[in-house]
Amino acid sequence: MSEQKRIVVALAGNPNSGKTTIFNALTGSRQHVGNYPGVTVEKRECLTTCEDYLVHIIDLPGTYSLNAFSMEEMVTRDFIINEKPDVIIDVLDSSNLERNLYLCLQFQELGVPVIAALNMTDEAEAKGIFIDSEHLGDVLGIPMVKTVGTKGIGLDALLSLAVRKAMERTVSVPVRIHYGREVEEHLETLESLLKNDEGIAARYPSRWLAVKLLEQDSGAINHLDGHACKETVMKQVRQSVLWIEKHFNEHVDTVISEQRYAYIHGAVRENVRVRQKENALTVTDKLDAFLLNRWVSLPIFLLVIWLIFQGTFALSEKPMEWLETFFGWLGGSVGSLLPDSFFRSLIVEGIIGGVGGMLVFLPNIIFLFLGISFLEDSGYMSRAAFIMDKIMHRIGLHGQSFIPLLIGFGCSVPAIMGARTLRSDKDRITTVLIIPLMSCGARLPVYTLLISVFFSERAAGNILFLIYLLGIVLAISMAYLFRKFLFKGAASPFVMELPPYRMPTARGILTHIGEKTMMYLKKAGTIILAASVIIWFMTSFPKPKEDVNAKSAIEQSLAGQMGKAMAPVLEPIGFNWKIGIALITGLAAKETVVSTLATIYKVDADDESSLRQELKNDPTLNPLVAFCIMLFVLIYIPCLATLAVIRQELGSMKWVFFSLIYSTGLAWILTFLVYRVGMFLGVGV
Amino acid sequence: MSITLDQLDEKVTFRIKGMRSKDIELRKRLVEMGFHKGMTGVVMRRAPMGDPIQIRILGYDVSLRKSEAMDIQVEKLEGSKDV
Repeated sequence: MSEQKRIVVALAGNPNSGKTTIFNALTGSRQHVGNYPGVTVEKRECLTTCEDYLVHIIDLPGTYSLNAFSMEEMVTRDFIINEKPDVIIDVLDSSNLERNLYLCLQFQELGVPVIAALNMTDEAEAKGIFIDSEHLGDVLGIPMVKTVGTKGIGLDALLSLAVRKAMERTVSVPVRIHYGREVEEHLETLESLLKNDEGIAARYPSRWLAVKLLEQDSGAINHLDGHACKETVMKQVRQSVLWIEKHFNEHVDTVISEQRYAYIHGAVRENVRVRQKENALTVTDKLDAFLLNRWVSLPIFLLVIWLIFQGTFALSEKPMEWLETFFGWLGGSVGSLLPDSFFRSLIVEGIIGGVGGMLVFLPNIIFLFLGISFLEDSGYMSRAAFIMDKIMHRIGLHGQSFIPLLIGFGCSVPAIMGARTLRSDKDRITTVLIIPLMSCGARLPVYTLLISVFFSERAAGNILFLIYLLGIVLAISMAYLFRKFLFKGAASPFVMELPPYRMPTARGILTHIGEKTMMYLKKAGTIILAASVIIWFMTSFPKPKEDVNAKSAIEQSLAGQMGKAMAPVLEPIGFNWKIGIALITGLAAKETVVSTLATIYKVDADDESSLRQELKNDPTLNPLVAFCIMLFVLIYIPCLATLAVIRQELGSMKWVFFSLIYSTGLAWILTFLVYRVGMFLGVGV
Repeated sequence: MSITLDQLDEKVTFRIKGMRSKDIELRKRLVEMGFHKGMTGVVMRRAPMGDPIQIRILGYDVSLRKSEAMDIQVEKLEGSKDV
């Protein structure tokens, strides 16, 4: 049996260059999604074959450069330096070649074999841009293949070329861009210092490291840690920086980057012909003239949002009904098949009840993802960020925070997943922390129940609106506070690309929805399953000695005892122990609060009207307390599924605990204030 | 007294004369997005609330906050409409 030669290919490129489309086309559904070790950056890879070779393709994150500011950049650099892929395929957007080549040069400087895919050739040619790929490739030293990723054109050639380049095995000498006589002298000095240190010389290409150090790249400076040469090298770096900045009257990084562009412009000017009228308007231009028009853009944006939410609700109504019926039937059938025992109770009430309750919500989630994917793939998402940035920035957030926050009104889980687009850590973490304050759909049953019992029909709408409004106001306030005290420092730059409008492909959208839904199911599903079982356990055990009704049973259970033990905490805010238990079960999912209340107040979970009657008759409950309950539910701990996603997206338990503590603390304090002031003023009692 | 990018009106074509930001992260981010000395571009429009600014440079569109554009020195080019 012959052994297949194995080649490692890294796929890289700017965001919006079509890299992911090419990756998906090359790999089909055989890709494996994980994380780069220790960071929350997604890692996609797959194995495929090409001409007798086993090709391991890894999709590196999309970046514009290889600075040390974002995790995506660091992951890309570290992968190339440590894993030393056999070849890099750099996917370039042919319509803006120069900016795309800026990244390409840096791969070359790292000394890895590079080939390029001149992607989106169809769009470029439609704009009148014609690239002589052979000559350009010669001049840059990078073999190039024209591709149209969405149509699968050129991909076979691309992969073959990659394999050939990888097998060339010529000792790769990093491409040396000439940075000008003066800078070159300083680079040579730095290089020899670096080469003298064996540890450094073995790990990093000296020339690349020298350039990065001169650019004052923090990652490069960190690479020197623990090496003997650090002090001498840094001393030389400081001297060189001072000299160069004085000589050119310019920052060093500016001097260096300008040389890069001079090199790129030279190569492009000779080999790219642009044949179009200066002011030819593209479809994107015409659309933007309308969609970003000063007067019309905001109303249109609001309309788009309204459409997405309305569409989601309308389209998911029927499927949700079917699922509800199905799970009801399932619970009934399974229940009748099994003998009465705690096992049956576990399956029917614990698992089917809990997980079923969450799966019923699934159509909602899927349609929400559909809307989001459409916005992303079409290019409108960045316009939304563009329109909203001024307001978002004022409250310490980012234009790109708006849509995730909006999605939070549906469900926090996809909202937090959507916050991934935020490049800056500070912005992303702040956004994720306040998303749960956007009152999610699961809380609605709690509100509607309490409002229908304790408030008049006239007041109902206003009270509901008030709750939502409070959520928004709190979110803004917390964002402001977090920004001020937790994430001090200058705001991250907003510089954001506005890609051309593109018609989303059915395949692209379906892939997105599929991926995100699977992620949601895995995260939420497993957590909610576990939580449902735990909550079932807590409300069923210990079993009462005699055969009593459900109400007393729950009172004597673990959950009931916990509720009573919590009296010192509940009493000041006006909650009785029953509310306490319901709130605890709300940890699994907010809808559970209602079903738990039904169980505690002794009625059948489906019998809404008698539940309302029971609540009305309870002397410890009144409009003020009801409002306090709603307020508490609005603010306190996000459901477990949300906590799980927070852990996944922000990378550490630290933020999960922070979220838990600040939300519960804030909930208690505000509820206390409202309750006490209400009692004092005699409102709603 | 040169003018800066945030001071330009819509539809104006410009050439960058200098990148003066003291913030190294901003400088590098601007550069990787295509802003550098000698580059020409067009101010497309401002967002409905006046900020950020949409700029066409190197054949594509990018969005920039006014506070970030303040550090980019420019000169207006002929052939641009003066509003």
